[in-house]
Amino acid sequence: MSYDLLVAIGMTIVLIVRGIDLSVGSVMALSSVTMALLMRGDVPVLLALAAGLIVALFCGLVNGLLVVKGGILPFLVTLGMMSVARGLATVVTTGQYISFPSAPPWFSQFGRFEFRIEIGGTSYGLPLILLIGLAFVAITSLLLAYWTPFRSFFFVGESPEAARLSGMNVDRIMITAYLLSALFVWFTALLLTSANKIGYANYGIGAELRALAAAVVGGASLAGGAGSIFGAFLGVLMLALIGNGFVMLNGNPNWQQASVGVVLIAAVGIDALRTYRDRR
Amino acid sequence: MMNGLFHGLSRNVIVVQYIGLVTVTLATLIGFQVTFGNVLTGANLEVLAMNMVFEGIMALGMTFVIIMGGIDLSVASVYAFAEILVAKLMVQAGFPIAAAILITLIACSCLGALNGTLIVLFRVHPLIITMGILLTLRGINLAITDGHSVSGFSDEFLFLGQGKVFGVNLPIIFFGLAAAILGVLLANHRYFRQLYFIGGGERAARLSGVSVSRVKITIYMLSASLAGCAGVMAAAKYGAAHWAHGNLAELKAIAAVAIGGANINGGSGTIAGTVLGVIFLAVVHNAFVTSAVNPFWYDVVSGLMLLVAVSLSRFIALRNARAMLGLKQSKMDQLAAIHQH
Repeated sequence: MSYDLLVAIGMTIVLIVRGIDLSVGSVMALSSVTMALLMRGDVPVLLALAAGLIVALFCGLVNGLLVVKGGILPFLVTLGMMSVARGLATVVTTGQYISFPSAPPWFSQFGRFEFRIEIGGTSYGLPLILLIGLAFVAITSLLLAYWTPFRSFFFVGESPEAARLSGMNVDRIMITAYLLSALFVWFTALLLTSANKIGYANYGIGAELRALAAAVVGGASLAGGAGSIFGAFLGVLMLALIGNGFVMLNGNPNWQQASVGVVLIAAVGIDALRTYRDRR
Repeated sequence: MMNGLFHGLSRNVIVVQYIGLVTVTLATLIGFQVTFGNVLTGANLEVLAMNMVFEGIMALGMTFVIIMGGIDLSVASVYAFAEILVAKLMVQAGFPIAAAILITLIACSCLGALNGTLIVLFRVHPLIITMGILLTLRGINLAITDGHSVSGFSDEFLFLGQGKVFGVNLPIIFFGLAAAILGVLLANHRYFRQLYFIGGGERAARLSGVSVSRVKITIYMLSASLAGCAGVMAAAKYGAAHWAHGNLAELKAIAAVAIGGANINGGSGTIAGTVLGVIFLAVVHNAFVTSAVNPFWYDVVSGLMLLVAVSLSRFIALRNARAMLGLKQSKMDQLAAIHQH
């Protein structure tokens, strides 16, 4: 769930500027594979992580440039990127797991680290990645609410034309949104690679749809200008609870995939009902 | 006169693009033939055509949807759903072939109607609705088959996918016939000409009396039915139905339409262009197979081709718009000159 949460934060920001990023899952795989391959080749960990970051940011930059300068619909651009990045990740690994036995142990431990809390004699584990996810929710929410450069995402998404006329650098702001999404994707890839101790070309399949569903459930609109990180958090929580419910109720877990689609359509339907009066 | 000029101009641009596409396709074919020497054989051409024919059938429906300014991502899972449904009806419920196919096609067109209705009702971008249906249906496909494949068809049914008439595989004949009929209808029939109006400007079309909602639902039904036909024939071709069949087929169908010169924002596109796009994709895919390059590269290239095709179609649309503006300007200059005299 923490992984979905980080991706959903990035997706919400992109949705706010009237974009969409379908490439998150594949870029996650590509970034993870890059890091794992470099670490297997005895490259220092930090250098490998930086390389993964560069790969992710490069994908984000290409997305942003094609959308802004090329004037192509965001979903087509990122759909293309989705195929390219997943393909590249598969090509360089030939579809196999990439383990990195020689990497220092701290790297493969922090993704699984848990704080132990004693309550009434029982020990509860609080995963570090959950705390990181929650911290990012808090930070990005505050930034979106109070920090001017982040506030401008809303203005650009609400009306790019008006934002341009009032002197904002719309192109740069939109590209920044895609870069931020790529940044969160890289961080997710980092945590995934660390927690599973492998890089894998099939990481993040369907992640874009879960993130999209969560963001839309949380109040983001595809028409831009609206969206809330806390809402996306609630959306992720809801999808996770539904998934968990299937397991708890001994249901067929295969239905879980279908439930994400139903939630997405229901969220859009509710959004349509909510804005019905405005549109008349 | 202005209109005539504009049409001539835009037709010229399209013809130039078609010629370019045909040239590149032929160059690829001949280049690989010269290098590897096993491309232009009957067996390979058959493989080439059969590899892309189902995506091609979906691309025909996608052409209509894209001209109308929509998009249908759900075709891939409708295709797999049709496979599974027709298989389950015949193998597990014991329906006769014709009844099973009929029920499957009706179910698929209902899914299309659901797509269209939700899009019209919620007034959100079709991308979201069809993606939701894609996801839901794929989940349903997985859940009702538990991830296993369904097989055990009769020989008569297998003929639909593997049989040949006059030495040509049945799915290819279906693709050719469907392309011919739909192409003629799209170019000439009043009902389908409306799609261009809707794609060019939905508001204007609505105000001039086109029942946009009804047309939209019908076209999504058409797209889903074609995907259903493809699915039925695919089940017969592979001899088994599996939920993961057709993964990313929607991407290939969209790429074929975009490569064929349709404006991805709606308002233009032809069946002939789509057919050329399908052939081009099939040739490129085949080139990968015959040249024994790591087939994993194929995803990379098909993604890149989608990006290039869309950029190209965007560029052509911009150039057309600029030419149109130029024409308007010269017309206005002429009028001004006449007034001064």
